[in-house]
Amino acid sequence: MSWSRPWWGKDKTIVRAGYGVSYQGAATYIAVDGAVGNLPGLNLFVEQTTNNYLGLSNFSLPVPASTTKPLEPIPLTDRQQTIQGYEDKRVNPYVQNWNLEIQRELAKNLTFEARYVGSKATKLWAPFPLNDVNVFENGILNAYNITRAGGDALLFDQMLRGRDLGLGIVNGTTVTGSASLRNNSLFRAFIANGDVGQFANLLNTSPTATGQAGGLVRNGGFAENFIVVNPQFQSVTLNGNSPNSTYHSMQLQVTKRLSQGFTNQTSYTWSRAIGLAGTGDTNPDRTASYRNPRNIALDKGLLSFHRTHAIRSNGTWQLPFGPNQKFLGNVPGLVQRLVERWQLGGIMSWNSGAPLDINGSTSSINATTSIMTPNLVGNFPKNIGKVTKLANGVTYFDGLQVVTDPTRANVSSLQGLQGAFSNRVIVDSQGRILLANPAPGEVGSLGLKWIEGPARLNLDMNLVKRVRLTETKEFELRIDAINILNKPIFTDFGNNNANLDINSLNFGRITGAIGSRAFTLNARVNF
Amino acid sequence: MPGFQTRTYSDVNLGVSQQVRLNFALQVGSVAQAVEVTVAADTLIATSSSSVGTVLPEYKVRDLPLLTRNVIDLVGTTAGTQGSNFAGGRPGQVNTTRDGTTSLPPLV
Repeated sequence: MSWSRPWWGKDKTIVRAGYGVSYQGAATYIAVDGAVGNLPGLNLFVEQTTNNYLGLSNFSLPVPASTTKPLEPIPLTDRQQTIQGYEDKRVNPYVQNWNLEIQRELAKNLTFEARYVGSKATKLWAPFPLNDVNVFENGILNAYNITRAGGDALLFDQMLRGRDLGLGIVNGTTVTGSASLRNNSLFRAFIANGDVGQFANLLNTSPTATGQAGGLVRNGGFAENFIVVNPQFQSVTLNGNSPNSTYHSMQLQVTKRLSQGFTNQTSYTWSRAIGLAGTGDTNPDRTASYRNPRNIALDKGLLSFHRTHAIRSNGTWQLPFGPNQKFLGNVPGLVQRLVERWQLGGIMSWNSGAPLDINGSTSSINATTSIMTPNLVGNFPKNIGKVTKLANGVTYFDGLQVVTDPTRANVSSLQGLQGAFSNRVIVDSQGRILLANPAPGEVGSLGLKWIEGPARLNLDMNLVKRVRLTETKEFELRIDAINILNKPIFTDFGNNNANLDINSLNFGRITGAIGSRAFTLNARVNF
Repeated sequence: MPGFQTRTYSDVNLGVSQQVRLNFALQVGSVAQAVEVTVAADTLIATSSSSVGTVLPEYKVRDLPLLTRNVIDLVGTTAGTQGSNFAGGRPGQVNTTRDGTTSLPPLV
């Protein structure tokens, strides 16, 4: 809808509004085929490398059949394979867009636009985990906490009775299940550091002391699905269709139309993009990991492409030299040819930083450590980050320190458990704790995408000289400079943002930057 | 045109879908004179257009610095874009067409 309003002059002010719905294209069946085509039992790969099969003289028929049967059930002692499927009513996502704009002509060849632009994406594709470990209803969390504090949990006596994990045969009296777990090198670090999710996953899959995956669960007489609901698989993923996301923005734009050899367009965008946190740039929008799979709404936050502020400007300016220009208009013809038709061009962009996750790499609920956030204990405001160059590198959190988590004192020293404790906390310059790992069974109280990373400034420029050869042909020489300021863009917090993990001694360290300056020289003939 | 003097019309505002006829009566001139026709497609006030957004006219595509020679990279100069995301939409939700035909497959 366009509505010309006679405010302060005819056709000087335009009000526009729009609404649209668009449906995303269907999934490529390459992706679907990749997901369902690798289900256990659907593929059989037999590689014959033995010399007997490499020469016809040694070849005999029939070729031995594989011992694997197509689509045979996965045994409960496997527990390593992955499987994924698709929700029955999975449909194409759709996006609704709406906008409202006022455009005003400020002066000749100069306009100003103020607009609101919003959108909502609905029924986005996303995977959901169906096989995360359970530590609540089955009592594992309670038994885990008892064991961590140095006590003996009856649950683990039952689970490990008659088995030897390195401390002797578990009998519940002189050798307890809890002591055996604390003593075992596979379980010890998980117990010491609050990784109850990984601890439960190991109980569910480890062949330790029994010789078969799931043997510990089976040994205690528990149901096969005591810890996960699909015990024959390591992970089960349902590709679903429920997440939504929203985008709201205010955009201000000034446009100087090309006249007198000069044009410019400058805009400012203030926006917010919110959805189920993930990459946001691809589909599905995230991996199948949630801080708490029982409450995935907790993971709603800023999307990775969110930028609070963005300023963009581009323009060209023909330099005022030569015939009919302000300078050097009456010089000899050869000089005129040399000085005329030089043009400067430029693109400037400045964005506030990309939202970042602060990670507390503790599997306090499920077996995934990479997505858990720490607890917000002290004053850690959203704008706390600032790129600071130190003598030995660059940091984003100058003044903050990484120290050993004082909850170490609550971890038992029995069986060397406390020695395996490696959790840390972030403290300020006065030693006050700001961020700490969540306790076993807890979701970190710090939200996803809590802070914004370093801002980006980029300026590209070019200089163009055009020489008319004939009326229909001209020669053009231009040099384009990308990132002419050669300003580094600090983006790299280590591999997989490892330096945003509060348990890393390198917390806050920026280890890399992009944005090198590049020049290209072009010569061409236009006709 | 060869052999004719310059004739210029200025301040001709052209809205979307509007047509204006301007007749040129050219006078014979010297060979050294030239006629330059410059068209700025970013119409100043397109009173009949309901489109909200930004026009990227041909002269900007030609004149702005562009290392990759990929015109899509210039889309990032407009408001509301962030990387491959447009007004909150994902790459898979953008349909790029040329002459009415989809030129890029949807990203899924």
